[in-house]
Amino acid sequence: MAQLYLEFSGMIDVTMGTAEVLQIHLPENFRQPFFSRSASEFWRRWHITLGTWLKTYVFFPVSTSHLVVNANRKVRKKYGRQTAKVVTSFLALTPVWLFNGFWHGPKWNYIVYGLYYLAILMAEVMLEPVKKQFYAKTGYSPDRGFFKFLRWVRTLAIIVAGEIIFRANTVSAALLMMGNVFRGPSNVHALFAVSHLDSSDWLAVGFCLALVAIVDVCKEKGVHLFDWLDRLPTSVRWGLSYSLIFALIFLGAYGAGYRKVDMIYAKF
Amino acid sequence: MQNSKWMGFVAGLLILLTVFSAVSVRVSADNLSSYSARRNSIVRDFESQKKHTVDVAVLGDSESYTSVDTMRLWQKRGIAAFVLGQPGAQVSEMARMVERIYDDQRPKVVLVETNMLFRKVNMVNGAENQFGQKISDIFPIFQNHDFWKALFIKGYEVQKYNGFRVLGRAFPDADVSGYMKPDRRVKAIPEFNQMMMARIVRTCQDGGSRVVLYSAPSTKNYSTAKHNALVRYAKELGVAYIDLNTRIGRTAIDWNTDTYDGGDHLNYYGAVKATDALAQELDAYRLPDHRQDQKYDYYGKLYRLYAGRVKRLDGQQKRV
Repeated sequence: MAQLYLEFSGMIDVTMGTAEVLQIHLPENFRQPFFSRSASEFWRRWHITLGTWLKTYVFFPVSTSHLVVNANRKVRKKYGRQTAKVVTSFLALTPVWLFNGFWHGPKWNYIVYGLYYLAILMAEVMLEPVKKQFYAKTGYSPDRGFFKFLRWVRTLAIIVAGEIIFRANTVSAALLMMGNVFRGPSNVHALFAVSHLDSSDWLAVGFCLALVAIVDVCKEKGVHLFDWLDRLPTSVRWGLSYSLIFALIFLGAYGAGYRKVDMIYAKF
Repeated sequence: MQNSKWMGFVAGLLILLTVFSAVSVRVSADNLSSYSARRNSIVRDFESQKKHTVDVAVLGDSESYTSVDTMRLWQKRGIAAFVLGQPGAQVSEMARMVERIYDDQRPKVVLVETNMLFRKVNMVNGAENQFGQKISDIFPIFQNHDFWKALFIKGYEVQKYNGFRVLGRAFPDADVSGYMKPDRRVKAIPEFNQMMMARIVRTCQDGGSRVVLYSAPSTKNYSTAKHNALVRYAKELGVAYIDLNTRIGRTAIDWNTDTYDGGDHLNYYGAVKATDALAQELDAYRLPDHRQDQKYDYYGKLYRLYAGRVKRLDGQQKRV
Protein backbone atom coordinates (compact mmCIF):
# COMPACT_ATOMS: atom_id res chain seq x y z
CA MET A 1 0.00 0.00 0.00
CA ALA A 2 2.80 2.35 0.98
CA GLN A 3 4.71 1.45 -2.19
CA LEU A 4 1.65 2.14 -4.35
CA TYR A 5 0.91 5.48 -2.70
CA LEU A 6 4.51 6.69 -2.66
CA GLU A 7 5.14 5.66 -6.27
CA PHE A 8 1.92 7.01 -7.71
CA SER A 9 1.56 10.23 -5.74
CA GLY A 10 5.32 10.76 -5.83
CA MET A 11 5.28 10.49 -9.62
CA ILE A 12 2.43 13.01 -9.73
CA ASP A 13 4.33 15.35 -7.38
CA VAL A 14 7.38 15.23 -9.68
CA THR A 15 5.09 16.07 -12.62
CA MET A 16 3.44 18.91 -10.71
CA GLY A 17 6.78 20.28 -9.51
CA THR A 18 8.19 20.24 -13.03
CA ALA A 19 5.07 22.00 -14.30
CA GLU A 20 5.36 24.63 -11.53
CA VAL A 21 8.88 25.43 -12.70
CA LEU A 22 7.31 26.20 -16.08
CA GLN A 23 4.58 28.27 -14.34
CA ILE A 24 1.92 25.65 -15.15
CA HIS A 25 -0.39 24.76 -12.27
CA LEU A 26 -1.68 21.20 -12.39
CA PRO A 27 -4.55 19.95 -10.20
CA GLU A 28 -3.76 17.78 -7.20
CA ASN A 29 -4.37 14.06 -7.76
CA PHE A 30 -3.97 12.84 -4.18
CA ARG A 31 -5.30 14.69 -1.14
CA GLN A 32 -3.92 12.85 1.88
CA PRO A 33 -6.10 9.75 1.18
CA PHE A 34 -5.09 7.92 4.36
CA PHE A 35 -6.88 10.52 6.48
CA SER A 36 -10.20 9.33 5.02
CA ARG A 37 -12.92 8.20 7.39
CA SER A 38 -15.07 6.41 4.84
CA ALA A 39 -14.57 4.58 1.56
CA SER A 40 -16.44 7.29 -0.39
CA GLU A 41 -14.18 9.95 1.15
CA PHE A 42 -11.15 7.82 0.20
CA TRP A 43 -12.21 7.86 -3.43
CA ARG A 44 -12.61 11.63 -3.30
CA ARG A 45 -9.00 11.88 -2.14
CA TRP A 46 -7.28 9.05 -4.15
CA HIS A 47 -6.60 9.34 -7.87
CA ILE A 48 -8.85 12.39 -8.02
CA THR A 49 -8.59 12.78 -11.79
CA LEU A 50 -9.90 9.25 -12.41
CA GLY A 51 -12.71 9.78 -9.92
CA THR A 52 -13.63 13.09 -11.55
CA TRP A 53 -13.63 11.53 -15.00
CA LEU A 54 -15.83 8.64 -13.85
CA LYS A 55 -18.19 11.08 -12.13
CA THR A 56 -18.44 13.34 -15.19
CA TYR A 57 -18.64 10.73 -17.94
CA VAL A 58 -20.28 7.72 -16.26
CA PHE A 59 -22.01 8.59 -12.98
CA PHE A 60 -23.79 11.82 -14.00
CA PRO A 61 -25.00 10.59 -17.44
CA VAL A 62 -26.31 7.36 -15.86
CA SER A 63 -27.89 9.00 -12.80
CA THR A 64 -29.66 11.66 -14.92
CA SER A 65 -30.83 9.19 -17.60
CA HIS A 66 -34.54 8.54 -18.11
CA LEU A 67 -34.18 4.97 -16.84
CA VAL A 68 -32.75 5.97 -13.49
CA VAL A 69 -34.92 9.07 -13.03
CA ASN A 70 -38.08 7.03 -13.74
CA ALA A 71 -36.93 4.21 -11.48
CA ASN A 72 -36.24 6.73 -8.71
CA ARG A 73 -39.74 8.23 -9.07
CA LYS A 74 -41.52 4.87 -9.06
CA VAL A 75 -39.54 3.37 -6.16
CA ARG A 76 -39.89 6.55 -4.06
CA LYS A 77 -43.65 6.53 -4.58
CA LYS A 78 -43.95 2.90 -3.57
CA TYR A 79 -41.19 2.31 -1.00
CA GLY A 80 -40.07 5.70 0.25
CA ARG A 81 -37.11 8.02 -0.10
CA GLN A 82 -34.40 5.85 1.48
CA THR A 83 -35.16 2.80 -0.69
CA ALA A 84 -35.22 5.00 -3.78
CA LYS A 85 -31.82 6.38 -2.79
CA VAL A 86 -30.42 2.84 -2.44
CA VAL A 87 -31.84 1.71 -5.80
CA THR A 88 -30.67 4.77 -7.76
CA SER A 89 -27.24 4.63 -6.09
CA PHE A 90 -26.94 1.00 -7.14
CA LEU A 91 -28.00 1.75 -10.70
CA ALA A 92 -25.57 4.68 -11.00
CA LEU A 93 -22.61 3.22 -9.10
CA THR A 94 -22.55 -0.22 -10.73
CA PRO A 95 -21.29 0.99 -14.14
CA VAL A 96 -18.86 3.37 -12.37
CA TRP A 97 -17.20 0.56 -10.41
CA LEU A 98 -17.26 -1.93 -13.25
CA PHE A 99 -15.61 0.71 -15.40
CA ASN A 100 -13.06 1.38 -12.63
CA GLY A 101 -12.22 -2.33 -12.58
CA PHE A 102 -11.93 -2.62 -16.38
CA TRP A 103 -9.82 0.55 -16.54
CA HIS A 104 -7.12 -1.26 -14.56
CA GLY A 105 -7.15 -4.21 -16.94
CA PRO A 106 -9.09 -7.22 -18.22
CA LYS A 107 -8.36 -9.42 -15.23
CA TRP A 108 -10.84 -10.90 -12.83
CA ASN A 109 -9.17 -9.49 -9.75
CA TYR A 110 -9.67 -5.92 -11.06
CA ILE A 111 -13.37 -6.60 -11.71
CA VAL A 112 -13.71 -8.06 -8.22
CA TYR A 113 -11.86 -4.98 -6.89
CA GLY A 114 -14.46 -2.72 -8.53
CA LEU A 115 -17.35 -4.83 -7.23
CA TYR A 116 -15.76 -4.88 -3.76
CA TYR A 117 -15.92 -1.08 -3.57
CA LEU A 118 -19.42 -1.10 -5.05
CA ALA A 119 -20.47 -3.35 -2.15
CA ILE A 120 -18.73 -1.12 0.42
CA LEU A 121 -20.27 2.08 -0.93
CA MET A 122 -23.72 0.49 -1.15
CA ALA A 123 -23.34 -0.58 2.50
CA GLU A 124 -22.54 3.06 3.36
CA VAL A 125 -25.68 4.26 1.58
CA MET A 126 -27.89 1.60 3.21
CA LEU A 127 -26.51 2.17 6.73
CA GLU A 128 -26.69 5.97 6.58
CA PRO A 129 -30.08 6.31 8.32
CA VAL A 130 -28.99 3.82 11.02
CA LYS A 131 -25.80 5.83 11.69
CA LYS A 132 -27.71 9.13 11.79
CA GLN A 133 -30.12 7.67 14.31
CA PHE A 134 -27.29 6.28 16.44
CA TYR A 135 -25.42 9.59 16.62
CA ALA A 136 -28.63 11.54 17.23
CA LYS A 137 -29.71 9.26 20.11
CA THR A 138 -26.30 8.92 21.78
CA GLY A 139 -25.11 12.48 21.27
CA TYR A 140 -21.72 11.25 20.05
CA SER A 141 -20.09 12.96 17.11
CA PRO A 142 -18.70 10.92 14.20
CA ASP A 143 -16.02 13.59 13.65
CA ARG A 144 -14.58 13.73 17.16
CA GLY A 145 -12.92 11.46 19.70
CA PHE A 146 -13.32 7.70 19.73
CA PHE A 147 -15.74 7.43 16.80
CA LYS A 148 -13.54 9.58 14.59
CA PHE A 149 -10.64 7.19 15.37
CA LEU A 150 -12.83 4.11 14.86
CA ARG A 151 -14.03 5.33 11.47
CA TRP A 152 -10.44 5.99 10.44
CA VAL A 153 -9.25 2.51 11.47
CA ARG A 154 -12.26 0.89 9.78
CA THR A 155 -11.54 2.79 6.55
CA LEU A 156 -7.86 1.76 6.62
CA ALA A 157 -8.89 -1.88 6.99
CA ILE A 158 -11.27 -1.53 4.01
CA ILE A 159 -8.52 0.07 1.90
CA VAL A 160 -5.91 -2.56 2.79
CA ALA A 161 -8.32 -5.42 2.04
CA GLY A 162 -9.12 -3.79 -1.31
CA GLU A 163 -5.43 -3.48 -2.12
CA ILE A 164 -4.91 -7.19 -1.47
CA ILE A 165 -7.51 -7.93 -4.14
CA PHE A 166 -5.93 -5.33 -6.45
CA ARG A 167 -2.36 -6.62 -6.13
CA ALA A 168 -3.04 -10.35 -6.26
CA ASN A 169 -2.56 -12.08 -9.60
CA THR A 170 -5.81 -14.01 -9.27
CA VAL A 171 -8.88 -13.98 -7.06
CA SER A 172 -7.81 -17.23 -5.35
CA ALA A 173 -4.38 -15.72 -4.63
CA ALA A 174 -6.14 -12.73 -3.05
CA LEU A 175 -8.19 -15.01 -0.79
CA LEU A 176 -5.05 -16.89 0.20
CA MET A 177 -3.24 -13.64 1.01
CA MET A 178 -6.18 -12.42 3.11
CA GLY A 179 -6.17 -15.69 5.02
CA ASN A 180 -2.44 -15.42 5.62
CA VAL A 181 -2.90 -12.02 7.27
CA PHE A 182 -4.50 -13.79 10.22
CA ARG A 183 -1.96 -16.60 10.38
CA GLY A 184 0.32 -15.00 12.89
CA PRO A 185 3.75 -13.37 13.26
CA SER A 186 5.58 -16.02 11.18
CA ASN A 187 4.24 -14.30 8.06
CA VAL A 188 5.71 -10.97 9.13
CA HIS A 189 9.01 -12.79 9.55
CA ALA A 190 8.67 -14.26 6.05
CA LEU A 191 7.98 -10.80 4.63
CA PHE A 192 11.22 -9.47 6.12
CA ALA A 193 13.17 -12.52 4.87
CA VAL A 194 11.84 -12.33 1.29
CA SER A 195 12.38 -8.57 0.98
CA HIS A 196 16.23 -8.91 1.24
CA LEU A 197 16.32 -5.62 3.11
CA ASP A 198 18.59 -5.31 6.13
CA SER A 199 17.83 -3.31 9.28
CA SER A 200 19.38 -0.13 7.89
CA ASP A 201 17.24 -0.41 4.75
CA TRP A 202 14.12 -0.63 6.94
CA LEU A 203 15.40 2.41 8.83
CA ALA A 204 15.57 4.31 5.54
CA VAL A 205 12.03 3.16 4.65
CA GLY A 206 10.78 4.27 8.08
CA PHE A 207 12.46 7.66 7.74
CA CYS A 208 10.90 8.26 4.32
CA LEU A 209 7.45 7.18 5.52
CA ALA A 210 7.77 9.52 8.51
CA LEU A 211 8.71 12.41 6.22
CA VAL A 212 5.72 11.74 3.97
CA ALA A 213 3.44 11.45 7.02
CA ILE A 214 4.65 14.82 8.37
CA VAL A 215 4.02 16.54 5.04
CA ASP A 216 0.57 14.94 4.75
CA VAL A 217 -0.36 15.99 8.31
CA CYS A 218 0.71 19.58 7.53
CA LYS A 219 -1.36 19.63 4.36
CA GLU A 220 -4.36 18.11 6.17
CA LYS A 221 -4.14 20.80 8.84
CA GLY A 222 -4.11 23.47 6.12
CA VAL A 223 -0.47 24.46 6.56
CA HIS A 224 0.83 25.81 3.25
CA LEU A 225 4.34 24.42 3.26
CA PHE A 226 5.73 26.57 0.45
CA ASP A 227 4.49 29.75 2.19
CA TRP A 228 6.01 28.53 5.45
CA LEU A 229 9.33 27.79 3.74
CA ASP A 230 9.34 31.24 2.13
CA ARG A 231 9.12 32.88 5.56
CA LEU A 232 12.18 31.04 6.91
CA PRO A 233 15.63 32.69 6.97
CA THR A 234 17.78 31.89 3.91
CA SER A 235 20.27 29.79 5.88
CA VAL A 236 17.51 27.56 7.31
CA ARG A 237 15.85 27.25 3.92
CA TRP A 238 19.11 26.25 2.29
CA GLY A 239 19.86 23.82 5.13
CA LEU A 240 16.50 22.11 4.61
CA SER A 241 17.03 21.97 0.84
CA TYR A 242 20.52 20.47 1.21
CA SER A 243 19.14 17.95 3.74
CA LEU A 244 16.44 16.82 1.32
CA ILE A 245 18.87 16.57 -1.61
CA PHE A 246 21.32 14.50 0.42
CA ALA A 247 18.53 12.36 1.87
CA LEU A 248 17.70 11.45 -1.74
CA ILE A 249 21.36 10.73 -2.54
CA PHE A 250 22.01 8.65 0.60
CA LEU A 251 18.75 6.73 0.79
CA GLY A 252 18.11 6.11 -2.91
CA ALA A 253 18.41 2.62 -4.36
CA TYR A 254 20.39 3.25 -7.53
CA GLY A 255 23.73 2.51 -9.14
CA ALA A 256 25.72 -0.63 -9.81
CA GLY A 257 23.99 -3.80 -8.68
CA TYR A 258 20.60 -2.20 -8.06
CA ARG A 259 17.90 -3.55 -10.32
CA LYS A 260 15.32 -1.15 -11.71
CA VAL A 261 11.84 -2.19 -10.65
CA ASP A 262 8.88 -1.07 -12.74
CA MET A 263 6.41 1.22 -10.99
CA ILE A 264 3.17 -0.55 -10.12
CA TYR A 265 1.03 2.07 -11.86
CA ALA A 266 3.22 2.32 -14.95
CA LYS A 267 1.27 -0.51 -16.55
CA PHE A 268 -2.10 1.25 -16.22
CA MET B 1 20.85 39.36 -6.80
CA GLN B 2 18.73 36.26 -7.57
CA ASN B 3 21.47 34.87 -9.85
CA SER B 4 24.15 35.27 -7.20
CA LYS B 5 21.90 33.50 -4.66
CA TRP B 6 21.46 30.55 -7.02
CA MET B 7 25.20 30.45 -7.71
CA GLY B 8 25.84 30.46 -3.96
CA PHE B 9 23.41 27.56 -3.48
CA VAL B 10 25.03 25.51 -6.26
CA ALA B 11 28.53 26.27 -4.96
CA GLY B 12 27.47 25.06 -1.50
CA LEU B 13 26.02 21.91 -3.04
CA LEU B 14 29.26 21.16 -4.92
CA ILE B 15 31.29 21.68 -1.74
CA LEU B 16 29.02 19.31 0.21
CA LEU B 17 29.18 16.71 -2.59
CA THR B 18 32.99 16.87 -2.45
CA VAL B 19 33.09 16.57 1.34
CA PHE B 20 30.63 13.66 1.46
CA SER B 21 32.47 11.95 -1.39
CA ALA B 22 35.71 12.05 0.62
CA VAL B 23 33.95 10.80 3.77
CA SER B 24 32.19 7.98 1.92
CA VAL B 25 35.43 6.75 0.32
CA ARG B 26 37.16 6.72 3.71
CA VAL B 27 34.31 4.95 5.54
CA SER B 28 33.77 2.38 2.75
CA ALA B 29 37.48 1.49 2.82
CA ASP B 30 37.24 0.40 6.47
CA ASN B 31 33.79 -1.08 6.72
CA LEU B 32 31.99 -3.63 4.52
CA SER B 33 28.53 -2.92 5.91
CA SER B 34 27.32 -1.08 2.86
CA TYR B 35 26.51 -2.73 -0.45
CA SER B 36 28.79 -0.33 -2.33
CA ALA B 37 31.70 -1.07 0.03
CA ARG B 38 31.35 -4.78 -0.65
CA ARG B 39 31.43 -4.16 -4.40
CA ASN B 40 34.45 -1.89 -4.05
CA SER B 41 36.27 -4.38 -1.80
CA ILE B 42 36.64 -6.87 -4.65
CA VAL B 43 38.34 -4.23 -6.78
CA ARG B 44 40.55 -3.26 -3.83
CA ASP B 45 41.47 -6.91 -3.21
CA PHE B 46 42.39 -7.32 -6.86
CA GLU B 47 44.47 -4.14 -6.84
CA SER B 48 46.31 -5.40 -3.76
CA GLN B 49 47.52 -8.50 -5.65
CA LYS B 50 51.24 -8.51 -6.40
CA LYS B 51 52.04 -7.06 -9.79
CA HIS B 52 51.86 -9.39 -12.80
CA THR B 53 50.78 -12.43 -10.79
CA VAL B 54 47.21 -13.03 -11.99
CA ASP B 55 47.04 -15.36 -14.99
CA VAL B 56 43.26 -15.74 -15.21
CA ALA B 57 40.80 -12.91 -14.55
CA VAL B 58 37.10 -13.74 -14.42
CA LEU B 59 34.38 -11.21 -15.19
CA GLY B 60 30.63 -11.49 -14.82
CA ASP B 61 27.80 -11.31 -12.36
CA SER B 62 27.03 -13.63 -9.43
CA GLU B 63 27.23 -16.62 -11.78
CA SER B 64 30.97 -16.00 -12.04
CA TYR B 65 31.93 -15.94 -8.37
CA THR B 66 29.80 -18.99 -7.59
CA SER B 67 31.15 -21.15 -10.43
CA VAL B 68 34.91 -20.55 -10.63
CA ASP B 69 36.65 -21.99 -7.58
CA THR B 70 39.94 -20.10 -7.69
CA MET B 71 41.45 -22.16 -4.88
CA ARG B 72 40.70 -25.43 -6.68
CA LEU B 73 42.40 -24.06 -9.81
CA TRP B 74 45.38 -23.24 -7.58
CA GLN B 75 45.41 -26.60 -5.81
CA LYS B 76 44.98 -28.79 -8.92
CA ARG B 77 46.99 -26.85 -11.49
CA GLY B 78 48.78 -23.98 -9.76
CA ILE B 79 46.74 -21.47 -11.78
CA ALA B 80 46.57 -17.96 -10.30
CA ALA B 81 43.02 -16.79 -10.89
CA PHE B 82 40.90 -13.92 -9.58
CA VAL B 83 37.16 -13.43 -9.92
CA LEU B 84 36.11 -9.80 -10.33
CA GLY B 85 32.42 -10.64 -10.72
CA GLN B 86 29.83 -8.48 -8.97
CA PRO B 87 26.22 -9.26 -8.07
CA GLY B 88 23.84 -8.05 -10.79
CA ALA B 89 26.76 -6.74 -12.85
CA GLN B 90 26.05 -4.95 -16.11
CA VAL B 91 28.35 -5.47 -19.10
CA SER B 92 29.13 -1.74 -19.03
CA GLU B 93 30.32 -2.06 -15.43
CA MET B 94 32.65 -4.91 -16.41
CA ALA B 95 33.90 -2.90 -19.41
CA ARG B 96 35.04 -0.20 -16.96
CA MET B 97 36.41 -2.84 -14.57
CA VAL B 98 38.52 -4.48 -17.28
CA GLU B 99 40.32 -1.21 -18.00
CA ARG B 100 41.62 -1.25 -14.40
CA ILE B 101 42.89 -4.85 -14.69
CA TYR B 102 45.74 -3.81 -16.96
CA ASP B 103 47.12 -1.17 -14.57
CA ASP B 104 49.15 -3.80 -12.73
CA GLN B 105 48.28 -7.19 -14.23
CA ARG B 106 48.67 -8.98 -17.54
CA PRO B 107 46.29 -11.97 -17.35
CA LYS B 108 46.85 -14.53 -20.06
CA VAL B 109 43.17 -15.46 -20.13
CA VAL B 110 40.07 -13.39 -19.33
CA LEU B 111 37.04 -15.59 -18.68
CA VAL B 112 33.73 -13.79 -19.17
CA GLU B 113 30.61 -15.37 -17.72
CA THR B 114 27.83 -14.71 -20.20
CA ASN B 115 24.70 -14.31 -18.04
CA MET B 116 25.11 -10.51 -17.91
CA LEU B 117 25.04 -10.33 -21.72
CA PHE B 118 21.32 -11.02 -21.66
CA ARG B 119 20.56 -8.40 -19.02
CA LYS B 120 17.86 -6.09 -20.42
CA VAL B 121 19.24 -2.70 -21.29
CA ASN B 122 18.45 -0.46 -24.22
CA MET B 123 20.64 2.29 -25.66
CA VAL B 124 18.96 4.95 -23.52
CA ASN B 125 19.43 3.01 -20.25
CA GLY B 126 22.95 2.22 -21.33
CA ALA B 127 23.74 5.87 -21.97
CA GLU B 128 22.18 6.74 -18.58
CA ASN B 129 24.41 4.13 -16.90
CA GLN B 130 27.49 5.49 -18.64
CA PHE B 131 26.61 9.05 -17.65
CA GLY B 132 25.94 7.95 -14.07
CA GLN B 133 29.31 6.21 -13.93
CA LYS B 134 31.09 9.35 -15.18
CA ILE B 135 29.36 11.43 -12.47
CA SER B 136 30.34 8.80 -9.88
CA ASP B 137 33.97 9.16 -10.97
CA ILE B 138 33.82 12.88 -10.20
CA PHE B 139 31.71 12.54 -7.03
CA PRO B 140 32.19 9.04 -5.52
CA ILE B 141 29.33 9.76 -3.07
CA PHE B 142 26.96 8.59 -5.85
CA GLN B 143 28.72 5.23 -5.93
CA ASN B 144 29.17 4.92 -2.17
CA HIS B 145 25.83 6.48 -1.29
CA ASP B 146 24.96 3.79 1.27
CA PHE B 147 28.19 4.31 3.28
CA TRP B 148 26.06 5.56 6.23
CA LYS B 149 25.09 1.92 6.94
CA ALA B 150 28.48 1.59 8.63
CA LEU B 151 26.94 3.57 11.50
CA PHE B 152 24.39 0.81 12.10
CA ILE B 153 26.01 -2.44 11.00
CA LYS B 154 29.34 -3.39 12.55
CA GLY B 155 31.71 -6.21 11.77
CA TYR B 156 30.13 -7.33 8.51
CA GLU B 157 32.44 -9.78 6.75
CA VAL B 158 32.22 -11.68 3.53
CA GLN B 159 34.90 -14.28 3.04
CA LYS B 160 35.96 -14.56 -0.56
CA TYR B 161 38.89 -16.49 -1.91
CA ASN B 162 40.31 -14.40 -4.72
CA GLY B 163 36.72 -13.50 -5.48
CA PHE B 164 35.23 -17.01 -5.14
CA ARG B 165 32.47 -17.49 -2.57
CA VAL B 166 32.07 -20.81 -0.78
CA LEU B 167 28.35 -21.50 -0.49
CA GLY B 168 27.47 -24.64 1.44
CA ARG B 169 23.70 -24.74 1.34
CA ALA B 170 21.85 -27.02 -1.09
CA PHE B 171 18.40 -25.90 -2.23
CA PRO B 172 17.27 -28.33 -4.94
CA ASP B 173 15.68 -27.40 -8.23
CA ALA B 174 12.53 -29.49 -8.17
CA ASP B 175 11.86 -29.50 -11.90
CA VAL B 176 14.66 -29.58 -14.49
CA SER B 177 12.62 -31.24 -17.23
CA GLY B 178 12.71 -28.08 -19.37
CA TYR B 179 16.41 -27.40 -18.89
CA MET B 180 18.40 -27.20 -22.15
CA LYS B 181 15.63 -28.83 -24.18
CA PRO B 182 16.18 -28.84 -27.97
CA ASP B 183 15.25 -25.46 -29.42
CA ARG B 184 16.01 -23.80 -32.75
CA ARG B 185 15.39 -20.28 -31.47
CA VAL B 186 18.17 -17.77 -30.90
CA LYS B 187 17.82 -15.44 -27.93
CA ALA B 188 18.64 -11.82 -28.70
CA ILE B 189 21.59 -10.16 -27.01
CA PRO B 190 20.87 -6.44 -26.41
CA GLU B 191 22.80 -4.21 -28.78
CA PHE B 192 24.20 -2.06 -25.97
CA ASN B 193 25.64 -5.14 -24.25
CA GLN B 194 27.21 -6.24 -27.52
CA MET B 195 28.80 -2.80 -27.82
CA MET B 196 30.24 -3.05 -24.30
CA MET B 197 31.40 -6.63 -24.85
CA ALA B 198 33.26 -5.57 -27.98
CA ARG B 199 35.01 -2.94 -25.84
CA ILE B 200 36.00 -5.64 -23.31
CA VAL B 201 37.42 -7.85 -26.05
CA ARG B 202 39.36 -4.93 -27.54
CA THR B 203 40.84 -3.93 -24.16
CA CYS B 204 41.81 -7.52 -23.34
CA GLN B 205 43.37 -8.16 -26.72
CA ASP B 206 45.31 -4.87 -26.52
CA GLY B 207 46.57 -6.08 -23.12
CA GLY B 208 47.72 -9.38 -24.62
CA SER B 209 44.95 -11.55 -23.11
CA ARG B 210 42.85 -14.28 -24.71
CA VAL B 211 39.12 -13.79 -24.09
CA VAL B 212 37.01 -16.87 -23.41
CA LEU B 213 33.24 -16.68 -22.96
CA TYR B 214 31.75 -19.28 -20.65
CA SER B 215 28.30 -20.07 -19.31
CA ALA B 216 28.03 -21.39 -15.76
CA PRO B 217 25.55 -24.23 -15.22
CA SER B 218 22.21 -22.71 -14.21
CA THR B 219 18.73 -24.08 -14.85
CA LYS B 220 17.20 -20.66 -14.16
CA ASN B 221 19.43 -18.57 -16.42
CA TYR B 222 20.34 -20.74 -19.38
CA SER B 223 18.50 -22.38 -22.25
CA THR B 224 19.24 -23.80 -25.65
CA ALA B 225 18.07 -20.53 -27.23
CA LYS B 226 20.74 -18.68 -25.26
CA HIS B 227 23.31 -21.35 -26.15
CA ASN B 228 22.51 -20.86 -29.85
CA ALA B 229 22.90 -17.10 -29.47
CA LEU B 230 26.23 -17.39 -27.67
CA VAL B 231 27.75 -19.87 -30.14
CA ARG B 232 26.93 -17.47 -32.95
CA TYR B 233 28.06 -14.41 -30.98
CA ALA B 234 31.39 -15.91 -29.94
CA LYS B 235 32.10 -16.69 -33.60
CA GLU B 236 31.33 -13.06 -34.54
CA LEU B 237 33.66 -11.82 -31.81
CA GLY B 238 36.34 -14.30 -32.73
CA VAL B 239 36.60 -15.73 -29.23
CA ALA B 240 36.22 -19.19 -27.73
CA TYR B 241 33.01 -20.21 -25.95
CA ILE B 242 32.52 -22.92 -23.33
CA ASP B 243 28.95 -23.78 -22.39
CA LEU B 244 29.06 -25.77 -19.16
CA ASN B 245 25.29 -26.24 -19.41
CA THR B 246 25.72 -28.53 -22.40
CA ARG B 247 29.03 -29.90 -21.17
CA ILE B 248 28.08 -30.97 -17.62
CA GLY B 249 24.73 -29.34 -16.85
CA ARG B 250 22.63 -32.43 -17.56
CA THR B 251 25.26 -35.02 -16.71
CA ALA B 252 27.72 -34.22 -13.95
CA ILE B 253 25.69 -31.56 -12.07
CA ASP B 254 23.15 -32.98 -9.62
CA TRP B 255 20.45 -30.34 -9.29
CA ASN B 256 19.39 -31.78 -5.93
CA THR B 257 22.74 -31.26 -4.21
CA ASP B 258 24.81 -28.87 -6.30
CA THR B 259 22.73 -25.72 -6.34
CA TYR B 260 22.49 -23.03 -3.66
CA ASP B 261 19.12 -21.63 -4.65
CA GLY B 262 16.95 -23.91 -6.75
CA GLY B 263 19.04 -23.86 -9.92
CA ASP B 264 19.98 -20.18 -10.11
CA HIS B 265 23.53 -20.49 -8.71
CA LEU B 266 25.84 -23.38 -7.97
CA ASN B 267 26.92 -24.06 -4.42
CA TYR B 268 30.43 -25.18 -3.50
CA TYR B 269 29.86 -28.76 -4.68
CA GLY B 270 28.57 -27.58 -8.05
CA ALA B 271 31.41 -25.06 -8.34
CA VAL B 272 33.98 -27.84 -7.90
CA LYS B 273 32.52 -29.72 -10.88
CA ALA B 274 32.24 -26.57 -12.99
CA THR B 275 35.81 -25.55 -12.15
CA ASP B 276 37.19 -29.00 -13.03
CA ALA B 277 35.45 -28.84 -16.40
CA LEU B 278 36.77 -25.30 -17.02
CA ALA B 279 40.29 -26.32 -15.94
CA GLN B 280 40.34 -29.02 -18.63
CA GLU B 281 39.53 -26.35 -21.21
CA LEU B 282 42.15 -23.97 -19.78
CA ASP B 283 44.84 -26.64 -20.38
CA ALA B 284 44.79 -25.53 -24.02
CA TYR B 285 46.19 -22.15 -22.94
CA ARG B 286 49.24 -23.73 -21.23
CA LEU B 287 48.96 -21.60 -18.12
CA PRO B 288 52.01 -21.75 -15.84
CA ASP B 289 51.99 -23.78 -12.64
CA HIS B 290 53.02 -21.42 -9.82
CA ARG B 291 52.81 -23.85 -6.90
CA GLN B 292 56.60 -23.86 -6.41
CA ASP B 293 56.97 -20.12 -6.99
CA GLN B 294 57.80 -18.19 -3.78
CA LYS B 295 56.14 -15.10 -5.21
CA TYR B 296 52.83 -16.93 -4.73
CA ASP B 297 53.30 -17.89 -1.06
CA TYR B 298 50.20 -15.93 -0.10
CA TYR B 299 48.13 -18.21 -2.36
CA GLY B 300 49.20 -21.07 -0.13
CA LYS B 301 48.04 -19.14 2.96
CA LEU B 302 44.75 -18.30 1.33
CA TYR B 303 44.33 -21.93 0.30
CA ARG B 304 44.74 -23.08 3.91
CA LEU B 305 41.97 -20.69 5.00
CA TYR B 306 39.79 -22.00 2.19
CA ALA B 307 40.52 -25.64 3.11
CA GLY B 308 39.45 -24.93 6.69
CA ARG B 309 36.20 -23.41 5.45
CA VAL B 310 35.50 -26.35 3.15
CA LYS B 311 36.27 -28.83 5.93
CA ARG B 312 33.61 -27.16 8.10
CA LEU B 313 31.18 -27.58 5.21
CA ASP B 314 31.63 -31.31 4.81
CA GLY B 315 29.22 -33.09 7.03
CA GLN B 316 27.42 -29.81 7.71
CA GLN B 317 25.93 -29.44 4.28
CA LYS B 318 22.59 -27.90 4.96
CA ARG B 319 19.83 -29.11 2.70
CA VAL B 320 16.86 -26.77 2.69
